[in-house]
Amino acid sequence: MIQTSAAISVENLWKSFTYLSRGSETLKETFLSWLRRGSSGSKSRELYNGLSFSIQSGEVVAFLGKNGSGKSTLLKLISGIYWPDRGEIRVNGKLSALIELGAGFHPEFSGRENVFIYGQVLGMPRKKMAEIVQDIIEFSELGDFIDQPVKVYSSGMYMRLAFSVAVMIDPDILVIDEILSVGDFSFARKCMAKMNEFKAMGKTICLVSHDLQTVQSWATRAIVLHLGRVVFDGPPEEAVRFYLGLEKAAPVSSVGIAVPQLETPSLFSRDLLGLWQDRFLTSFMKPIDFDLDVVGREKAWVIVASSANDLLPFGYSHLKLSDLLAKFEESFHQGEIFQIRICILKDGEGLSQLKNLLNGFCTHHRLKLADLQFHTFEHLGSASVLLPAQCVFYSLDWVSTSQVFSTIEYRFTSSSSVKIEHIALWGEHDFLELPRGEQSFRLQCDSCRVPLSFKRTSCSIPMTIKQVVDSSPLDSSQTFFKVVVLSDFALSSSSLALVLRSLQDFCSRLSASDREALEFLFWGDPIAEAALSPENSSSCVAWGDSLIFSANKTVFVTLNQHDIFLKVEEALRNRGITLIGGSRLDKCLSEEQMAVELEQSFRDAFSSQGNEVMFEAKFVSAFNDRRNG
Amino acid sequence: MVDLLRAHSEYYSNIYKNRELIWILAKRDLAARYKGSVLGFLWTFLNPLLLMLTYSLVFRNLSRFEIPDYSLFVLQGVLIWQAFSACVNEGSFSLLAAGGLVTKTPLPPEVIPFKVVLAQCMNLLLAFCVYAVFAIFIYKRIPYTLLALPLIFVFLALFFVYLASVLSVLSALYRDIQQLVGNILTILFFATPVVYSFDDMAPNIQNLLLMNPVAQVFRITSDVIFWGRMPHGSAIFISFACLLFLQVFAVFVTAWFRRRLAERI
Repeated sequence: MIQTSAAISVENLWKSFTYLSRGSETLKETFLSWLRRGSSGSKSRELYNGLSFSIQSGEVVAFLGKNGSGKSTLLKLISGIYWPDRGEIRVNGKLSALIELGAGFHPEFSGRENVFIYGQVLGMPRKKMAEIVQDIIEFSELGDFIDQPVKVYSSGMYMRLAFSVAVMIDPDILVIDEILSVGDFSFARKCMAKMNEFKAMGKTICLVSHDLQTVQSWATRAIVLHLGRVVFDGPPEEAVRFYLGLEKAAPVSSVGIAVPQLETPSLFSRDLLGLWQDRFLTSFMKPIDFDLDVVGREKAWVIVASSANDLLPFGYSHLKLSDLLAKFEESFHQGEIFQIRICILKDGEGLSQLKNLLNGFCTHHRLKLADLQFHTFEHLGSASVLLPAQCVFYSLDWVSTSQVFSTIEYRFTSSSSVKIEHIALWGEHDFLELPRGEQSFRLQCDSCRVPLSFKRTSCSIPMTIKQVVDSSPLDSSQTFFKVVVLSDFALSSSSLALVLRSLQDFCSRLSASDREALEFLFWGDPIAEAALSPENSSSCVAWGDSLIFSANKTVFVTLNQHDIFLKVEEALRNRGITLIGGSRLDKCLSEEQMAVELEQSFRDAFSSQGNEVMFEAKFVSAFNDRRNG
Repeated sequence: MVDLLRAHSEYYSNIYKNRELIWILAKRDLAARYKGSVLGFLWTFLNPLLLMLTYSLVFRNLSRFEIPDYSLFVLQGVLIWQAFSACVNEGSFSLLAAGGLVTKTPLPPEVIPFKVVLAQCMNLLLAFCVYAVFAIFIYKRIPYTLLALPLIFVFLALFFVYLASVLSVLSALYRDIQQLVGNILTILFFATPVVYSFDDMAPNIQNLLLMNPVAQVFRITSDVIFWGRMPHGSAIFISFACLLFLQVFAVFVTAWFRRRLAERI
């Protein structure tokens, strides 16, 4: 009976598979896991979590997807070979499953005998079988071979016989796994004709096929599965295009976040990764930026930002989420799938805005935001954030960068299967003065055995200090003061407030004419810009953990390092320069080393010509801190 | 927990629905066994004869048992033992051997051990023709209790099938079971009155044997088939208690693991 209602309905299907370390579980392992109260040693992987769809009777539905996306398992679940963990699968009508042709064939028996057995296995009563056995034999075109044992059959003949049984028992629903092209050309055509007959009769067909031609021409609907989820459900032509986009994508990380049910078309979730690398990160940044090679894992990407601000449209990062989303959208319309995994290391400012932004984007595209994981820095060590093989780190300030590195290194080296060969940084660290003429240098860190290399890249924003200065040259004839506020990209709001307050203090002490003549240089810190610019249409250079000096009548603002600040102040006072404003944070560093470092820097700076000398003091504070315990 | 009542109805309705298939598969197993061999079906009769010859020669000279018509006694014991060990061996391997039938078709797994045991029981029935020939024409030993032989067969078949069901499921999940089964069968052979009689044993050994339900089953069969006497109450009680337990256990294990079975094979 063909029902008018849904022929197959799958509701909220959950299924996980247990992967056993040695192919099968031994008694010992089971007993041990009982002793450990249920903490079984075997790993299980969730294949479907909350899959739902329904197939109307008369539909020809093709399932597309990469290998391992769960197509065949789905057919097995529909056919009742596997059982769902949760959820329901309802099948209306007689179902014939062609998961594997000739599954019940016995090689010693004749084709005719096997037809009976196979028919029984497929659920045909013997009497009915006897009626149709002749039709089956005719359809199979095996002729005299039918009374030979099937072990003498060629594989084509074997398949023909099995296929003939499966289609001749007249099912309401036919479930076919990859077996449409059976036998030689003429037989395959005959099979297709039979299938078309089925279609015309309004029978329901579910098939898994990689023969996209057939899918396009024959199916009435196609469902693309990816990582156990329906990522596309619609007309076959579009589905094929979508699927091809999927195929082109880079391999995806094996690490995923549990994804709730996604609506059609759905694509946002789990791992951003592979695609960004291929699709637009390459055009967006130079590939050389991503250099964290982990041996023995699939390549994948994770975006780690030190704070949510970095990803916001007004954030100061060069990798803004809005840009990414724009790119994302572009690629989305090209029918590709994206997965994003964002790890925010600091909670606090910008988080809710980031969430809103993502939600807005998802709502706009009728997507469901799967899961946005926010890891606070403290959680980093225990979180699985860093398990994907390749990680993108950016917008981390010095301290957190080094901490992240040691964390990463600890995590990776503690799991024996992964080795880090190289960690590369880019971007703001160009502010570090690179040895002249070199494009990169290596920094050895005592506790971090992995060589850290810093590369000079041109794609990050504020470039080097030199470039900043070049782009807005100090002109003493017109400018009374230059205020150069340097903050790092991950400038926290508290430190920013300090900067602003000190700037305000500074300004209030100026005479009116001086204040008018004062030029603020804003750069790179839009929040500071927003706070300061309305009345002063200027720009501000923001860069932290560094000291910037303009030798003549200059304001120095430094962040983070009170001790340094004091030293700077002292050094400047000795040279007749007054330092106005400043801020402090609690991080301290090894004084001796900094003193040496600073002294050298100052000597260099003040001995050079002109009054527009800028230099920076490098803080190796983080490393020093750690070295000292 | 598994609802035992529902599990029972599911179990037996699956068996009933697939009765034709069980029959066909059992016939296929039986036919396939000797297919391609020269003597073919004759092996069904030759096997027990050869075994009888071996055992009676060995044990008549080694043992001090005073059993009249010892060869005949050994024949019935060995025939049933063969069926038993084949059911246990093949039964425990049956789900794994069936492979494609369970993993590629929606066939209820309980069907498989049934067809194995059915094939073995048909084999046993045929082999008993040999016993009949010996008993009637050579030893002239035809006790009236042989009338209960059909009952004995039904009992054995049920005993075998539940045992095979339990083992088939467990060994599909834990491959160790197969290793265990081989060893236990060897021990069991000597701990079961197959080539000796229960009554000949010293009382302390009899007490030990009472703890072995399989020994009790063989006590019953030898009493009914060979000795021609009513089996002892203790043997009947233990055997039936064991059968009941196995039945419930088989249904329970099948229902409990049904959902995971196909993917674990």
